[in-house]
Amino acid sequence: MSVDVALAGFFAAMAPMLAGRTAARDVEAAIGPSASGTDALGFYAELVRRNLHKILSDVFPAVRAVAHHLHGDDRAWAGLAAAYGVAHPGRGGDPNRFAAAFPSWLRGRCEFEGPWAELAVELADYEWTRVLAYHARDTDGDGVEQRLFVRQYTCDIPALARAVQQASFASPAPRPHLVAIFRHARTLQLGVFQLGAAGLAALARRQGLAVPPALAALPDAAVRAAVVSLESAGVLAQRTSSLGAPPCHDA
Amino acid sequence: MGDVVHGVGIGLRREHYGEILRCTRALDFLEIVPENFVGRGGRPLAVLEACAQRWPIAAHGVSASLGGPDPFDAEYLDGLRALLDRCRVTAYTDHLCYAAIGGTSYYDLLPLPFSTAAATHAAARIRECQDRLQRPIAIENISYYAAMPGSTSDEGAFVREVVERADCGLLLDVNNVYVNAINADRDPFEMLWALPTERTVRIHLAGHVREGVRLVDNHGTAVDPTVWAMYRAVIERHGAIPTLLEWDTDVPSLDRVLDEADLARAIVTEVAAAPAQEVA
Repeated sequence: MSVDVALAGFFAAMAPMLAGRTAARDVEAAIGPSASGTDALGFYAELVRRNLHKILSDVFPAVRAVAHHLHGDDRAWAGLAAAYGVAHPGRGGDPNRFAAAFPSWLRGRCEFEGPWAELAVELADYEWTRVLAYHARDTDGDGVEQRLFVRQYTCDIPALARAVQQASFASPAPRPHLVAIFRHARTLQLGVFQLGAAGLAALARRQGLAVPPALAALPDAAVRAAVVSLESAGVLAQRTSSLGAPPCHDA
Repeated sequence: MGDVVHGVGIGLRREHYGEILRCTRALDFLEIVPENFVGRGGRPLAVLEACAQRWPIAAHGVSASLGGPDPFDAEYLDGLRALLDRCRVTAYTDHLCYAAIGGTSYYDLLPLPFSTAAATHAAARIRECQDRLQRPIAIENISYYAAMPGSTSDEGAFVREVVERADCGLLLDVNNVYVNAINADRDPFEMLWALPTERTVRIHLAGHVREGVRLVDNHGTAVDPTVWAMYRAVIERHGAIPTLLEWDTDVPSLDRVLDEADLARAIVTEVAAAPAQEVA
């Protein structure tokens, strides 16, 4: 379907203004004035900026809280959101997808220094992973890399994500933390399950993956028990009869 | 429109997922934003499917970009059609606007110039979208904060030209009319009746907020008294029309939203009970 020439000119003039690259007066210079005035026309760039800021703030509340804590106000976060919007314009109708590249884009940003450089990236990864798990299509199997993700962080990132919402907090000491971030196979609630060696071996076995010798040497009974625990916690879909369930931290 | 929706409904919002299925109050239908469900699973879809067993579902999209320059996302529309089939949604509504240019999405409902070229373009796209979704579409009059360069008519004439060219229904957002009128320093009722209200198949009611020199349509407050008066006037003129109470920002308790929806229900009841006016 072809677009009328004047209408095509309208879209061509509006696009850079909506992206914040040109001003409303540039639009008017190109295609004529708005009867409502230049300021009113320019308000649309502000609305788009707000939308992108809101999407990122909704998806990454912990990262935003850290930025606020480190800089004393929300300006650093607003600057990050604006810069990200320029680097990664929204694509498609799903607003959440706009946030997809944010964790990797965050790496190396000067807004986060010292230990927070890595922690901010890990917090962003954790928060984005939760979005993926929450919205993933329903599957018949375990939904690995769909509703179930395994991450090794440099510290207890799920706990840190909760802590940074509080008034004061400090960067935690490094301590490798292996977790499954998942949507419960039955209740559909989001959860986090701290994994040990047996749990990791159980997940690998469930996927039919080869495991390193150290994990392969684990007693079969320990791995079977881990499978039962993972099923009981809803990390894995139920295939065996359930015994006692370990605590599931619904993050 | 062949619509199964009737009465007064509210939006299905995640803030109410935990309590909506326990709702015992009057509620005739639920409206969803289908973008929150297409291609997704988990709790939102489970809640929706449970709700669809109990209430008629209306689907009101925000990203079709019916007036936009980009081709439709065929994969998304296929998924949307499947969702509408699954939830027995007989008609689809979206906005008379654009939301993306050249593949970049702005996640907003952006106004078109009020011109015949834009009306012709939007109408053709509405027909195409109707064909792809295999069900009728009604378009919503959006709130806008500036008349776009290139406009040659006003909103009422523009919306009429679009719906007549597309032969589609109007989703009349009364709050949007009010916001647009106040921001343009015009009479709200004059702007209301300039729209093709005779084509209204559904009504939206919502709140707005004042922000500096303008009202902003934020769906985050109670409905304004003048908006209620406009709603009553529409019902008096056209009879009961399925009505949705929207509350999408600072979403309060389900009971509070239903309280507001009850006000619409009361107006419909009062108008129906009032003696017919003699027409000279």
